[in-house]
Amino acid sequence: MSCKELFTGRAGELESRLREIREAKGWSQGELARKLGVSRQTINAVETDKYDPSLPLALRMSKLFGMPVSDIFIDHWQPQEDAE
Amino acid sequence: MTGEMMAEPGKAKKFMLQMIGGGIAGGTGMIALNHVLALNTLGTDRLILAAIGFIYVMTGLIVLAGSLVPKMGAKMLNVSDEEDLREQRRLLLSSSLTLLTFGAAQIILVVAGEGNMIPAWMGAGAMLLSLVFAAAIWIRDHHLYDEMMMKLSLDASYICFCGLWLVLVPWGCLAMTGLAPAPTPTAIIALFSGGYLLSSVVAAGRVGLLAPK
Repeated sequence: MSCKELFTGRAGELESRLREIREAKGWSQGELARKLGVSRQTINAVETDKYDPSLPLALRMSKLFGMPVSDIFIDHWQPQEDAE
Repeated sequence: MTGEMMAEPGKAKKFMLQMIGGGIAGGTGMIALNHVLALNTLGTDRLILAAIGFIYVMTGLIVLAGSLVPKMGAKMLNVSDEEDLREQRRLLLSSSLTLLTFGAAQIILVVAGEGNMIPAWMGAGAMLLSLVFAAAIWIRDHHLYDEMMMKLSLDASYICFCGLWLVLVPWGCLAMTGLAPAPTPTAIIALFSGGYLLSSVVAAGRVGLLAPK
C-alpha cells in the first residue's frame, strides 16, 4: 500500500465514468441513489472519485446500466511482467 | 477545493458564513458556559473536556435543528439541498440526539465530584447512560447506514485508534519511567472523545463530505 492509498483510503487508481453514464440516462443523483439503495452522498463520492464502491454495489450498477463493471470504472492498473 | 470554491462563489460564501457563524456561536456559548459553571476554576483537563462536550452539544443542536426544519438546515449544514436532509431525517435525528446526550454527559461529568456542583454518582451515571443510549441507537439504526457511511464510521474508529495509540502509549511509557506526569482520567476521556470527533472529520473529508456544497 502506498502512502497516497493510506491517506486517501482508496486502493489503486479507479476512474469513475458513473456521472457520464447516469447523465446519459437522464437520471439525477437522487434517482440513481434510490434505484441502488444507497445515499446521494455515496453516488456523489463515487462520481468524484473519492470513494470506490464495494463489489456488490459495482455489480448492481453494472446490471442497472446493462454494461460491464469495467466500462463504468476504468482501472489503470497493469500487471507487472515477471522478470525471467 | 480552492479551485472549486473559486469556480463557485455561492458555495464559498455559504461555507465561509457557516464557518464564521459556527465560530461565533461556539465562542459565545463556551464563554457563557464557563461563566455559569465556573469551568476555569476546575483545572485545564476539565476545561478541555467541557469544551469537547460543548462541541458535541453544539453539533447535535445544529443537526437536530437542520433535520427538523430542512429549509433552514440546508443553509446551516454542508448539504446540497433540503432533499439531502429529508432523505436522511431518521439517521440525522438519532445522530443529533446521540451527540447531544454524549456532549451534555461530558459537561455534567466535568462539574461532578467531591467539592463540585453535583454529586459524583450523577456525573458518572450520566456518562454511562449516554454510552448505553449511543449503543442502543447504533443497534437500532445501523441497518439504515449505506456502505459508504458504514465505511466512514469504521475509518473514523480506525484513525482514532491509531491516533490514540500514538499518543497514549508513548505518554504512558514516559509516565511509567517518571519522565512525564501520568495522564489523568479526565485527559483519557478527553482524548477518546476529542479524538473520535477529529477522526470523524478526517474520515468525512476523505470521501469529499467536507467540500463546500
